[in-house]
Amino acid sequence: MMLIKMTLWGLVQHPRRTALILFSVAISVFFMEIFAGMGQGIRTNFFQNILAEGGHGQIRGAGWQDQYDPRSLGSALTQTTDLVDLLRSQPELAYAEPLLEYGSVFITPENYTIVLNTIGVQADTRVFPKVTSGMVSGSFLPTANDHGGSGNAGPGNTSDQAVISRALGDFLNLEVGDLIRLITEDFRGAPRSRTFTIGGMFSTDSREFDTSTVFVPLEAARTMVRIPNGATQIRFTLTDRGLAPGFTEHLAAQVQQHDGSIHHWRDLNEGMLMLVDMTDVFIWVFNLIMMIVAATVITNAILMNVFDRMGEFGTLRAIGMRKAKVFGMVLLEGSFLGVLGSLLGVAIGIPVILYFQEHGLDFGEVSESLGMGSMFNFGFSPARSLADFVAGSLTALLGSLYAGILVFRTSIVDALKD
Amino acid sequence: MLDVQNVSKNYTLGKTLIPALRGVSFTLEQGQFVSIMGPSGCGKTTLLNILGCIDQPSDGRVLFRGTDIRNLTDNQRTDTRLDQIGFIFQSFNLVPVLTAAENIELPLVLAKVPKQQRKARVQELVELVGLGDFVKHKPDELSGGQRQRVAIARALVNRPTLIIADEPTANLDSETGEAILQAMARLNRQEGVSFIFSTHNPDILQYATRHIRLKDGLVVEDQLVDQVADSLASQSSSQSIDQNPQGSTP
Repeated sequence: MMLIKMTLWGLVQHPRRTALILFSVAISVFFMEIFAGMGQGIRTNFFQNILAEGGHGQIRGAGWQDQYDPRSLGSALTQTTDLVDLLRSQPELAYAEPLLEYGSVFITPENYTIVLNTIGVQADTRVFPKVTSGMVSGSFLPTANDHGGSGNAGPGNTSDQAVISRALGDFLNLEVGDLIRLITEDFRGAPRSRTFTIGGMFSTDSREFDTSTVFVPLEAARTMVRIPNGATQIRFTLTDRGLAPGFTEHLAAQVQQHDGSIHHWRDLNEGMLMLVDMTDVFIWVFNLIMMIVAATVITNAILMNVFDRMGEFGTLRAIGMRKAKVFGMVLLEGSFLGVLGSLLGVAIGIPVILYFQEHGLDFGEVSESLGMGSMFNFGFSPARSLADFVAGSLTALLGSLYAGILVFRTSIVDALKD
Repeated sequence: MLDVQNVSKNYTLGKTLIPALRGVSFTLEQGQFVSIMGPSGCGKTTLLNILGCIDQPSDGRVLFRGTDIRNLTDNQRTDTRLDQIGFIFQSFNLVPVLTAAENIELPLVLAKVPKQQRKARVQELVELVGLGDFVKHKPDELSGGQRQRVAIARALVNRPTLIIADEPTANLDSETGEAILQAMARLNRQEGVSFIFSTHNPDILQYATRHIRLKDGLVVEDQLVDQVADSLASQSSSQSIDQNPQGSTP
């Protein structure tokens, strides 16, 4: 107790210096927390949004990756049913769904031409959760049973309903029930057009996606581009995303027989994963810089404390305190400041992370361009907070190491002169 | 108890070698009360530092209870200081955050003495040096004389065989300084502790039983004064420091 009292004396003696150390540790840990929260958010967004939509894997037409135009129908799958059946015969499969994606043109009454990414999906699609859960008027593509329709061509039938976003509707002055006419090229390059009734409007957190996408029933899309039983991709999810590499490897040969190629999520999101990894590296580098700055401030401040108390350390050594114990006192001082400062940093950081986890932070087009929506939700991880706390405490300990070594090396005679 | 054999100590100042001690030799018997006198820069403090195992001679040997202190490791020298040697400093060198009692107790804590025994020993010394009700005061609440009493009690607390005092009265007024010297002389007799103290004040030499005079790093005089000490001893017992327990501020 007496030794602890002596150890912490310097902190009480110099409140401004103590406050400076506490502030530098706390601010470092706080920013580490915030960046860790952002990193966690990026990972969470990636796995929740991108994998939820992109699936754990996809079957694409052979040569798909070599296409100049990603919307080209040249590599569309034509044996979709067989491929879906093949996937469904696998025990690891949780869900599989074909999509037909192509570009179409909408000519506004004012003769403006808008290019829209047209996606033919099943009415009960599960690969666009943000869209299906984000309907703001009308409903998502109704199934044939909803209206008892037969699926015949012509406005009013369920097969001719389309879903656009509220943002696009506002831009084009369209409402639910209005008609839009989409023009495209079929798989042979011949022009085709079809009129759809707007059955519903959605809104997601990505304005770019909202203003460039229209959903139409899969069968209508197939009819429009004249690829019966066709799809540009089949997205699938497995019981565990970790199974995806083995799963795709296992089915590669069979898929190839149907003129397709199978890819797992790591292949499909290579760029995004690299970005996630780069974010981690960036956070580590940032944390390292923060730690170096904090360690420098701490070293400096503890050195000042040590110089002030050098005579006292000399006395303690003279009356029989071992070098190691004096060294320990200096380290204890640093550790105490480190623990207290880190606790402060974590205590301030966690509520901020939790706030942005709940309300998100609007990164605008930056995160939209990465396919993650404009609102960026932070992620909170207790383990990460604990790691930041430990890192902050260790930094203070390292910062006080130099001061401790200095005391360790100073002779008693020299120390007593101070 | 202490055998100083041809001890030299040199310091370097830039490229210049400065001799602080140049072949000092003497022996110290248990229970002696020795003054080391000489002008500033004659090597008094250097000699005391070497005798107290806080510095090493450049040449020569110091045998403390038969052991050459140069052969001891740093921890062994530290333990020797803790168990065998007490220090009294000119500037008291008390730990500011600790109370008077805690300052006295500190060497016992370092020696890992059980708490009950520590408290008893501290109480004993508080009474011996006459600190009275000031045990819970911190150093900055004490007068110079009281601080030096705390320092004396701290030096004595582990029952050392040797106490080294470097100009113990230099920061005190003459009356308090005299009272401190009387206390040291009395403890020398009562506890049988050897004292070596440095001073450049001839008025306090009367308390010592042996005078060693240094000049330019050499012993120029080494004189036993038993008869003087005997007469002073009887005087000091009647003028106990207890008559002036609070001392006075320097």
